[in-house]
Amino acid sequence: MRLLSVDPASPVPPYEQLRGQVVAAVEAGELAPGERLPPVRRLAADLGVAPGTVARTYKELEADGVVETRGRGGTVVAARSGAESEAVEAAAAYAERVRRLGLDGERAVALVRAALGTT
Amino acid sequence: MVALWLYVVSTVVVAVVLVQQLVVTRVPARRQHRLERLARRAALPAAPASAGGDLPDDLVERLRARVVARDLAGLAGGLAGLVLTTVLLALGPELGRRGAELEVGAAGGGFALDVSMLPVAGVLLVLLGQQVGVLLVAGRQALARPDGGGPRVARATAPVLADYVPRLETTLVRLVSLVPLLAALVVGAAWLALPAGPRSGEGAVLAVAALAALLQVGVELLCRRVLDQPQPARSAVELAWDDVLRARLLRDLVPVPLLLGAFAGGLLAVAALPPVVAALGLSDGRAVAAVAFGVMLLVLAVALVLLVSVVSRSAEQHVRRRLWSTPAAPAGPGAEVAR
Repeated sequence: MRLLSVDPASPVPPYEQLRGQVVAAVEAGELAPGERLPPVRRLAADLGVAPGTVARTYKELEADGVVETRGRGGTVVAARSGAESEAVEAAAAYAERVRRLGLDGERAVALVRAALGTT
Repeated sequence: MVALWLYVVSTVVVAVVLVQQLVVTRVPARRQHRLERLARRAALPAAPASAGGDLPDDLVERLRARVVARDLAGLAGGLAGLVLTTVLLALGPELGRRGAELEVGAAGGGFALDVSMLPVAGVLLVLLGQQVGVLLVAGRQALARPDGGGPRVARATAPVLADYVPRLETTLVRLVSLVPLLAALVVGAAWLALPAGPRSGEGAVLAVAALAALLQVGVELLCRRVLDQPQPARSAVELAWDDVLRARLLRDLVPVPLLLGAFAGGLLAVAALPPVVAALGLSDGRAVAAVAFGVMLLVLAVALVLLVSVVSRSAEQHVRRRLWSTPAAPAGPGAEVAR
């Protein structure tokens, strides 16, 4: 189960903290397509931030195609294309393998970059 | 008379228990003991940091206060229901006589006060009182905010009622609450089919059906309101505790509409019998009586099974399984929840 958190002492703005966590949760498969995010006011009250902060997060996530707004149906995680969904699964499998092999994260990412030819 | 004395004795016993609990729960060790008992069922930590535990002292104190206040409010509400029933039973014969005097007859849709069902209805009053008490306290507690700024955590998805109350339970309660309405429709149709003649108690019968339906609608709205309440928490453990207390509150809402639905369904099945027999022009009403009695028994059996399920199954374990079956993904302070 994924939890979101906001640290008021962090130099990162609250809306950006939230956006990053939702994107990470979606990419890790912890938030599946169609899953409903909490209503703006509810999440704002839970986290002790202004409703505008959560609204801005949702707006940016929608602009990035991570979530979609369905009127009264609320804000839900957007469906991915078939290719992207497959890539996410492959990335998760790779991450799991890397963990088992005991490689550190930076080395694993460097290997992916090398394989993609983007180094 | 026996019922009156039973209620008098019950009232005295509950009053004594309430006073004893008011005294006992002032002792911190007793409050902690009560919290730990619940913590064991919910598989959550309850020891404060000052006693070598994991939880901040202020959180433990708030949890103790919530658990104790809920129990005391439930007892006080139940006591109020008992007192009211006892008073009604004591005044019963007088109320029945006045009700008969007030009755204006069939043409005016008379409303006779029948106090013979009061001992049974009293059980509902006691449960209703207990739940009103719990709700008043829980509603106030749900609005409380944690002190201080600090980081806060929240769930990334919106929980639904099924996360707190098993879906089978809510579905069956809704079905049971529909039975009085169906029975009222049957009674109404039978009465319409009958030629005008002396009738009695139709107002009361329909009022019970309407009350059962209204109560169910009220409970549904209340559940939605509870689910919409914010869950301000500074850690995953605090959020998990709030889930457990919220699940107990929502499960507390089940028995009253359930019992009232079954009670009203039974009452209506009995009330429906004579007019249905007359409307169908049956000289021998035994077949209809058997069917009506069977329906009543079925409704009561379903209600009883549900009630036993509600009482025997742990609300804490269901919510832990639904919302905390996987450890919380790290998103902030105290994200890991003990399993």
